[in-house]
Amino acid sequence: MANTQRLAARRSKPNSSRAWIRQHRDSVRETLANLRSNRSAVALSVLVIGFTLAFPLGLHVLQQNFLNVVITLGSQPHATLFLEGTTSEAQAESIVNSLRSDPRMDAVRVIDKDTALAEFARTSNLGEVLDTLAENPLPYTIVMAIDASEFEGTKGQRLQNDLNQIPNVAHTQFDVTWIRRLDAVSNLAARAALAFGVILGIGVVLITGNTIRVGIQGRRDEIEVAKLCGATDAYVRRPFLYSGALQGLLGAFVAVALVASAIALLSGPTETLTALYSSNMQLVNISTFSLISVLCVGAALGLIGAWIAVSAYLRQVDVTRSV
Amino acid sequence: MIRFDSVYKTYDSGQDALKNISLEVDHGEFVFLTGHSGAGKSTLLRLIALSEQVSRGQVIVDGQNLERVPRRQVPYYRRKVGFIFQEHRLLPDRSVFDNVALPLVVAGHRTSETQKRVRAALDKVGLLNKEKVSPRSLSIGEQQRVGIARAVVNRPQILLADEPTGNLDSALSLEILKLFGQFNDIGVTVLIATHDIELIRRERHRRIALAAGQVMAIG
Repeated sequence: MANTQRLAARRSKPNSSRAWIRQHRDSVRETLANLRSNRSAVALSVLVIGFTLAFPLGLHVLQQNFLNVVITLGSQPHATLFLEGTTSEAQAESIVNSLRSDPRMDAVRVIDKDTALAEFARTSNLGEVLDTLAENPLPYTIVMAIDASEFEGTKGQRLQNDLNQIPNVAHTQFDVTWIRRLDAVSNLAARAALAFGVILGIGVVLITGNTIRVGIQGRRDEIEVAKLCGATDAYVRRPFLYSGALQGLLGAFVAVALVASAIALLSGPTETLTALYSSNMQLVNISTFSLISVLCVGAALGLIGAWIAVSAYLRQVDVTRSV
Repeated sequence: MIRFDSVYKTYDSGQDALKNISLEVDHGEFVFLTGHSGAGKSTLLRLIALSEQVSRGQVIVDGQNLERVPRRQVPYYRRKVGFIFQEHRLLPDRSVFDNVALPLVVAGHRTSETQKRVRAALDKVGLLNKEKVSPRSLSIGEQQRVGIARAVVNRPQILLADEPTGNLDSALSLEILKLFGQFNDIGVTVLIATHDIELIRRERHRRIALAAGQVMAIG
């Protein structure tokens, strides 16, 4: 008998993990119902969040594309290796082969001693003087085209070190000043995207916070009655948190859609432009990582905004306990 | 069950709602709290429901000093107390069933358990056939009964009612009072604030009379 009672007590005990799941399920249902009844206000808020998030996201994608565009339109960076004068043809050949197997090099071209001399004679008007030389004084020269991405951050320095360590190399020369400048501009753009992201992120928190605050005002009576019936703060907070996170998430979707449309709009003219430079460059779209990040960030910002709004309200109505 | 020791309550506005109140209500007792409006009846009930805090003194309910109930425990304390408002405060956008179910939903009871208990409570107040309708379509007397069903659905040990018959004619008032009597019969401590003299005369329960925030008479 006592056993059955205990069992019954346990079965109806409300504070189990199942009860927790049940309450969450109810909260979600309630959230959706509330969103449906406030459709226009929520839609407006989602759009505002979307446009707000679109700006840093767009800047980020622009920065991703910036380097590509400039490199397509400009020339590819080159490195030139001058080998020591004593280097034999076989040695030069092996260096060229090893460079060709290096994935960082796009095109490796060797200028042998004779070609170099002929070229020099032609361009310098010193042909006659050169003819008097007993031996060709020019070294083997290797010219490589290198992908611009190999100069991002510290990669350029490493590349330079690697090339300097090749035996028989007397001197290396990079035409990388402009690519360094480009890299600096690109870093600036990335930093700007981040800064705007932070500022506008705070904006998103405020927007959702305000929408949720208005939502709370509309449901004051309900909250008060629920609290008198023994609702915990967590119970009151939950549907608003779902609502805030959902608005942030939908706003992030709007932002992605806006940026994706902008890219689609720009991709035609970009192809025309790059075709004129006899290149075929595709605009980089929002990466999967960026997509997931922006959705998570949107939801998180909405959640934070909702949390702040509900907590402020709960503090305000909490007349009972100061301890 | 309920004990007030020299309780003072002063609102932020400076109004002294209660002055040096000391009283005791036993477990399972039925007590009327009388006095004109503004005498402090509502404040006294709100102190027991922990929706107000005393300014001075102690309120002890079921051996628990309410001043020492930590903030996080307040909701769990409130589940032991059923509260009935004069203006019943039902949620108009929810059905009668959902209104009554609120205390159980809030506490996270199973759906089947909730259904069973809500129906039992509605049956008790004679409104089982109205569970699907909106409270708006009910008469005032019926709305008040829904409010009572909501207050008792969680099987509280204490039932507090603030002017529960304020808007009702005497026949309906008596009906409501009979309901309270039934809950009292099964051991629930009932405390009713009212200025309805006729109502008090009909029933032989203990009275605590308040005037200007002080206890004028007990008995």
